Order: sequence, then structure tokens, then C-alpha cells
Amino acid sequence: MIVPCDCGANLRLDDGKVGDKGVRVRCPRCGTVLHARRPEQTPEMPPPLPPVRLQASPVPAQQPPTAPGITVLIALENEGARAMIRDILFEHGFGVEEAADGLVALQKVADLRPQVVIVDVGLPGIYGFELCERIKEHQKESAPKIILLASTYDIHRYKRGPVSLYGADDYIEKHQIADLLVLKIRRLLYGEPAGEPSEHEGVAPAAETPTLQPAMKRSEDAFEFSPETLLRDDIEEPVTAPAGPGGAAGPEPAPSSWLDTFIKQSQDGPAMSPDSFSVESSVLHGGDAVLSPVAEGDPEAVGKAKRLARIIVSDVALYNQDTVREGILNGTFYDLLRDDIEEGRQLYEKRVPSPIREMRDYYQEAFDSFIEAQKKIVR
Amino acid sequence: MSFINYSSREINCKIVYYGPGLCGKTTNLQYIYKKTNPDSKGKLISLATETERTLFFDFLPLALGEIRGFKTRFHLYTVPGQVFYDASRKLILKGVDGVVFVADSQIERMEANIESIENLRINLAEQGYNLDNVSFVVQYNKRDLPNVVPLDEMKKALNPRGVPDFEAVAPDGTGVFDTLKAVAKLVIMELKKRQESG
Repeated sequence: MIVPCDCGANLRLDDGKVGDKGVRVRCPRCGTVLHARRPEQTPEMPPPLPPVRLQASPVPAQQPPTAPGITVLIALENEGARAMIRDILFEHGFGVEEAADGLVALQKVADLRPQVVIVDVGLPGIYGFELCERIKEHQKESAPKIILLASTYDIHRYKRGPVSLYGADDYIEKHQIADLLVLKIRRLLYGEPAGEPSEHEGVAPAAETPTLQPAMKRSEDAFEFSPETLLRDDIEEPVTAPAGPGGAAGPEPAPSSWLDTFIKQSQDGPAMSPDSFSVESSVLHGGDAVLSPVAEGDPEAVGKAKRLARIIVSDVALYNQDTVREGILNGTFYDLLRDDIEEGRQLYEKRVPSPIREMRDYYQEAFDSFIEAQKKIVR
Repeated sequence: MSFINYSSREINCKIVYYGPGLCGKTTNLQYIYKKTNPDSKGKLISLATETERTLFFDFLPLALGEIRGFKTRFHLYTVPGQVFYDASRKLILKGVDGVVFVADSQIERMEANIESIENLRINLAEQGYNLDNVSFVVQYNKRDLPNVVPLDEMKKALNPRGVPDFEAVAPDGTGVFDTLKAVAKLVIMELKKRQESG
């Protein structure tokens, strides 16, 4: 079905997604929310009739300009996540290009000139934050809008955004993609109505300086450490280059030096190679907590189970100190911390074999013991 | 192991700050960042939360200068410390050259320290490293708090091998650079040793 918008755009909708009560869609060109539904049908009057637009939301205070087709480049290693984003963007009428690593992304930005690039922080090849900076540096005013895609372990846990966006124009967390990605793209392309609150309290979009140092004067006196001293101080044999005819940055190093031999042996070393660090598998997919289990036959299995329980309790409490206090005072500890406690139990059960767990609920006992101790402190 | 980019003439060494949740890993990197000459440091990548959790890592590149025409950088990483985030820690350990174990000196965190260092040993072993052989230093952080474990006990529990170790109060910088210099020294000496044996 095609839904016309006042701005001239025609939105193509999948009939199957338009239920009996219709569906609300937002025009990717102007942002107007349209409420489309099928015309009423009777057995005698078969479909299809063209859809009718029943209602539009109030016109934005500042009507955005119209634009030709918008191409969005998705720079993200994980194919499934790319497909999810691609479907959303297609649904809203955007053209989509994809790149699975930073090198391809950089090339596509140069070749295809997308208007928007979605960049995963953990992109292989060129890290996402580096890619942002390179795009902005090379293309300057003509650079596309960039949305940095970070990942969260738990959508309820992370409420503060990154301290810097490294040149990106905005930032989105994975769980927000379905709801906010198109809005963010539209906002970047067409501007947003004044006063619209940010989804990320505390985020300073495109702030180039981490917030940890705002009070710091950029004077020479403020900086006490020169990393060069790591090569010179306290090292038995300084490994700085000998001052030869070519100087430190002179001709090819002599192959006889230990460093050169090492370099030649290590050219393919993995330390910082793209495949050495990808957050995809753990952070995007939540595949954490694969710690070594407590062995059932271990004579210390009970002790280890108890210790694991106490560590989990300690972690939960440490990261929720205000909530713990409130929960102890009001008797709502288990309600307020339900998610964390459940998450901890899943970890506990993953690592502690069932025969040990069936003996006693050491996990619950650890929480009970913690609460009793806290009651004395808090009160 | 260190990554050598021959075309761009760069040596990159990876140092990971490891330890239990809220032990001060990020604070170490923040202090290093704050006190480092702007010409020698990259941006501190820090995805944290309102409760000071590390989202998945902190990252700070430091330029050490040149070794025979090769720009040498140390890349400092932290791991998320909470017991839940083990897979993330494994990923960040890949290709590590040196490890700083930051222990929380508070008595109620000793079990978490022990768990974390055991976890470090396991995760390194899974990638073919032996904690007893990697460049490794220990930092006993939060020594300014009233409820700290005596140093001897911490050494016994966390540093039986007697690697270089330091007391620290990361927010005011006490011990931070001593720790970094110690691990840097070990990493650089290891590079040399590997060449000589290879």
C-alpha cells in the first residue's frame, strides 16, 4: 500500500503490517506522523482500494526541507544486526549501503557519498571512533552525518552516554534502534524542533574532550608525565635509536638488531589487528558469564559456591549502593534489585552444579546474610 | 603479542588493566590521561555509566617516542570488572603484552580480588598465555581507606610470585605511574628477550 504525505513523498507499506486499526508511520522526508489504515471493506466490496490518510500529527514547528533520496551506510560487523537496521531503514524509505569493517566503510563513504553513516564502536579494521574522525577530517563540511552505535549489556543499566562521540553527530544504543534510529537520522538531516529533550541525559554530542578533564588547564605545568620516559627511565638498556647518520627516523633499520628481527618476526602479530578485538560476540549478543564452573566433585565445592554467591552479592551491592540503602530502609530490597538478583542467580546456577545447589540455597543465604548485616549499618 | 605495522612504521603494545568491579582501573587510566602531555596521548575512550561501570572497555593510546624510526605506542585498556562480564574480558585480553592487576584493598572485596585474579589466570590460559610468564604487575589500590587489608596479607593472597607491586590511591595518582612504568619496563624487556631467544 502507498501512503501519500503532504510533502510529496509516497510511503510504501507492507499490507500485512497494517492491522485493522491501522498503523502509524513517520515520513522519513519531513517527519510528519501519518496514520494509515485500510478502507473499510465489506464482502460485497472486495479490496484493494488505495489507502487513505486519516490523520496527521501536528505539523512540526519548523517544517524540515524536502530532500532527495537519502542513503544510509551501515558500518557494522554483525550481519544480523545489519539486517535488522537495514529492514528498518528500508521500511522508512531510505536507501541502504552496508560495510562489515572500517576499511570498506571508509571506501564506501568516499565512493558513494551517503548522507548518513551508522558506525559501530567496535567496528573491525578501523575502530568506529577512528572511522568517525577520519570521515570528518577528510570530508569536513561535506561529511555525512554520523551516528555512533554503542552497545549495552543491559538496557536498564547504562543511563549515561559516552564522554566523547569522537566527531560523530549522535549516538544510539542497540536497544534503541527500532524506536529512535529513524528519528535521529531525521533530526540530523532536517534539524529538530527547539527544546526537544535528548534521549541521552548527560551526553554531549560530538564533544571532543572527555568530561574527566574540563577543569584542567591546558598549560604545560598541568602535565607531569611524558610517556617517552617509559623508554628511558628505569629500563636496563634504553632501546631508543642510536644516533646514526640517518638519525632516529633514518634508513631501514639494520637487520642485525634485536628489535628489527623481532619486528620482522612479528609483522602479523595480532595485538591490535582488527580480528583481535571485536565486541560483537559478547556485548551485542550478551554472551558473557562463561566462567569456569564449580566442580561437583571438588571437596571445596560448597565453599566455592558460597564464595561465588558472596562475590555476586558484593558486586550487586557495590554497583547499587543508593538502591541498597533505600531497599534496606524501606524493606523493598528484593523488589528494587530484582533484575540484578535474578541476573546473579543465573550466573550462580550456570557455575554451580545442581547437586551443590540442591543441598542448600547458598545464593539466597548470601543475600539474607548481607541484608542482615546492612540493617545494622543503615539503621 | 605486540603488533608491528611495518608500512606505517609503528609498534603497538597492549597493556590491560584487570581487576574486580570498581577497583579503580578506569581511575588509573583517567589519571594517566590527565597528567600526560597532550602531544603524547590519544583520546581516552571511556564508555562508562552513571554508576561508574565500564561499558565494555576504556582505551588510552600513549606515544612513547621512536625506536629506530618506529613510532612506539602503548595502548592501555581496562576490562569491565564485574563477575558477570567474563566474555568481554576474554576479548579484551586478546593479544595482550602486559597486565596490571588492580586490587581493591578493602577487606570486603578480597574475595572479589581473588576471584578476579583466578579468572585472569584462566582467561589468559585459554589464549595460550601463562600468568606466570606474562609481563605482570600488581597494584593494591584504595590504600587511603580505613578498611584495607594489611599489605602482607594482600601480597600473600594476590602476589605469591612476587612480581612488582605497588600501593596506590588512584584518584590522587599515588602509585599510578609507578605501576605503569613497571609494566612498561617488563613489556619492553620481554620484547628484547623474545628476540634474543628467537
